[in-house]
Amino acid sequence: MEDYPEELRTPPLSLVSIVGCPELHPAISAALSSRQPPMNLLALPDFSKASILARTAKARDPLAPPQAPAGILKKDWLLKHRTRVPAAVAAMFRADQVSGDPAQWLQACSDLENLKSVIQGRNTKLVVILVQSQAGDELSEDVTVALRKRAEIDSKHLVVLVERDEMEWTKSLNKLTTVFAELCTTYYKDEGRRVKARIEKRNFSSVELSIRYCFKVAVYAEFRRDWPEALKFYEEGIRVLREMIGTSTRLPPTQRLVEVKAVAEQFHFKISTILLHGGKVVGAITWFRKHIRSYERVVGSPEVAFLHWEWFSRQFLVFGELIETTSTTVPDTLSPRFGTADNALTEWEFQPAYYYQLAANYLREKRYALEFSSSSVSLTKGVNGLPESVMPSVYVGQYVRLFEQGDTVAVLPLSDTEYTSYALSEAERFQDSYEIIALFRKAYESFRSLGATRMASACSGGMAIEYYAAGDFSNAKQLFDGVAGLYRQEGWATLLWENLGYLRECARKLKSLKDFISYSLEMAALPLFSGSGQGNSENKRKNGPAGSPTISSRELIQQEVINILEGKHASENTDDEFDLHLMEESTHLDIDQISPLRIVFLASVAFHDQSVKPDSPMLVSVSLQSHLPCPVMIDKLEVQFNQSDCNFVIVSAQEDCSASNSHVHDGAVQTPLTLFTDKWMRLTHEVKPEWKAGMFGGEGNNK
Amino acid sequence: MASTACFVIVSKNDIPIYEAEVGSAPKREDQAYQHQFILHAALDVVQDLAWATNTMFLKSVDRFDDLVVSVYVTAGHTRFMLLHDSRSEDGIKSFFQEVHELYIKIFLNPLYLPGSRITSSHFDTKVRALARKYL
Repeated sequence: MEDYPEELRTPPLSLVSIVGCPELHPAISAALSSRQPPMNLLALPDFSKASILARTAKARDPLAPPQAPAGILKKDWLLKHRTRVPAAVAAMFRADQVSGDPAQWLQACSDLENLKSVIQGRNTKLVVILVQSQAGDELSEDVTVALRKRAEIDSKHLVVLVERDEMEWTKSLNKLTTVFAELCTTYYKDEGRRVKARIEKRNFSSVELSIRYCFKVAVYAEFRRDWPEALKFYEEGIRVLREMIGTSTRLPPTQRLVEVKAVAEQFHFKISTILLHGGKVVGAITWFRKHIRSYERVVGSPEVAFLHWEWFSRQFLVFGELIETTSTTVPDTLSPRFGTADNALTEWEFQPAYYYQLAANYLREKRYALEFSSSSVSLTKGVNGLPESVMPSVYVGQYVRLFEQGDTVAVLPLSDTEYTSYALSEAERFQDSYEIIALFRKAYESFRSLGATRMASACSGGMAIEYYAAGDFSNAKQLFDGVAGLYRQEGWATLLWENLGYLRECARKLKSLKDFISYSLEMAALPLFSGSGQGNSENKRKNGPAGSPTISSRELIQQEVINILEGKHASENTDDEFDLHLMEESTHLDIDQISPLRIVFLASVAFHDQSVKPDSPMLVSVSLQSHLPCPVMIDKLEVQFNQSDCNFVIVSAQEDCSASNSHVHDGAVQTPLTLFTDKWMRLTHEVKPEWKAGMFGGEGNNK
Repeated sequence: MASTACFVIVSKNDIPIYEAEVGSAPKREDQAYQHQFILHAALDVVQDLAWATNTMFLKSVDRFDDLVVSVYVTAGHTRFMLLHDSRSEDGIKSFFQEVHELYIKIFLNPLYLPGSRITSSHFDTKVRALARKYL
């Protein structure tokens, strides 16, 4: 919203102008500003400056056919009427200037005539102000009557200010401001009525003029604080604007869309501001939804889709900011029964954070579209080149090219190809990822303060994805870890899968082998719903690096981990992401009661007897279960007790044990050690009394 | 008939126990993540809204793009969540009510552990049939 010009962001204030007697302008300006609503003053110190109020001459040939307008809204029209075109002008004279010697009287008459000729052609109202030093100094009736006739104004529009009498000064100043207010209302009403007459009589040659007239009538209504009328014509203008997308042929297609959306943005901003400041939150949200629905599918050609998403994102951002700044109170009855029966409003739609997170999502769409546009246009960049000296036009949403030839400066229209190149080069200058992160962070903090942990988590995930896209893997990993914690706790396996996919890639990029293996094993063992079938490759960019959670994906992940652990990957490719030094050491993973890897491996140890007696055999059962999709071959299994003497080893029977047989302790047992998915493998080991007695009966052995 | 819809049953511990992509659109696996993402985030609103009203059917509790979230909360605080585009409320309500009856039958099974996943293929077939009928 800060990018919008000042005259658009604030409601228009009546503008009046005062010419002459500059020493009194500050006091009058303060009085005008303190009125409700306030008025703006355009102060001109002397009459020679009055030419600034003159209308710029438009050389209109009466015989020429009506020329088609070159645009919809002129960029400076609103600013002009707020800063340069006053509704009323006051000619200010001191009493001695009009009641002194004839030369001064003639000078005053000449100044007045000049002022009248300057505002000729406009409907600007004229006021004459006479300044007296004392209340007792009575101006002669002849002078005031002559002055009024010369100015052609009503008697009540000649105001006498008494300078040195405090009470009289205040009273006369109030009268002056009241006269100004009345004249301004009349001016803006007359101007609005004049333009409205053209709308009602269909007195325009093109649809562009129709929209422009709606805008003017609405602005004049805003000047008068006639909000219902302003709203009515803004809505009418935006309706006509929407229809001209398919009909107008003035501009090439891409630039036509850009112009229409820029104008629609201004109209809707005005509508939202009026509704929200009027306390009509439900109406504003309903209108916003209508606005979004009108344009969400008007994307344009793929090369310039990024312009659409940038515009789309800004609609949400600006609307969220408007809701935030108007400090609206959500209605007490929190019922989803707002709006029409078919389109009930949700509770989130009253929160600015809702719009910030959607703005972030759509800005990400812009980044996707921009990547697509850059890759496609770069092939032909050498041919087209960039048009030079492109600048915004005097019309809203239009761009032109400056062309210099000697002393002549011409303005040439752009072709769509030229405009696309320009827009692309402009867009590539910005780093969208950090803007997206800022939007998500704003929404995240708001949702967290509202106690909405899942929405906050969704925004946190959005931040993480953007950090990932920008190559900041450390920040991304930290955020993904937090989000994964919530999904683990609540058991949303599909969302956890996506999250772990990113975490795995972050660990790979950060060369964290242990984390990579942990995340990979957790992914491979995730319990997924049986509905998961074979994923297709469409919309690959929508998914994270994990892809679809299919059985084959999980098998691939498990195989990758096994290859890394066995060192095959390192031998095949010496440029592997992981440090080769790490391969030399064994990887140690702890799986305890709170480890997320409990879903990967489960181990259970049970004694068959309640007590252990000397010289009796003891049976111990070790049960293992794996949730990995592929069978797991175990080479060796060590069972460790607090007393290390009790430890024993189980070696896989499939291994060639002839060489190691001579070293195996008597207690070693050979048995197949292959874990199948989701099946318990029970191993029963008997501790023989001879061996056990031998260990504990040291003295006996000595005998 | 809906172009896209996702149906999830969430237990009182906020853990999803049943999930189905329903609707006439061709099945797209990559959409499942996005749909569940929206439904998971919508739980925040349901959490507050369920105690503010005495009706079981909460329509349009959340929206994202053109997709709307409607929720049905049972007496045991199990939540049926449906992600859909704009359509008739009556069909959605009837769908919820009939799924509720199916869910009660699952719940009455003494071998079913409350809060655990519903893995019955019979239940799955019935739910998809109801989706085709009402949605």
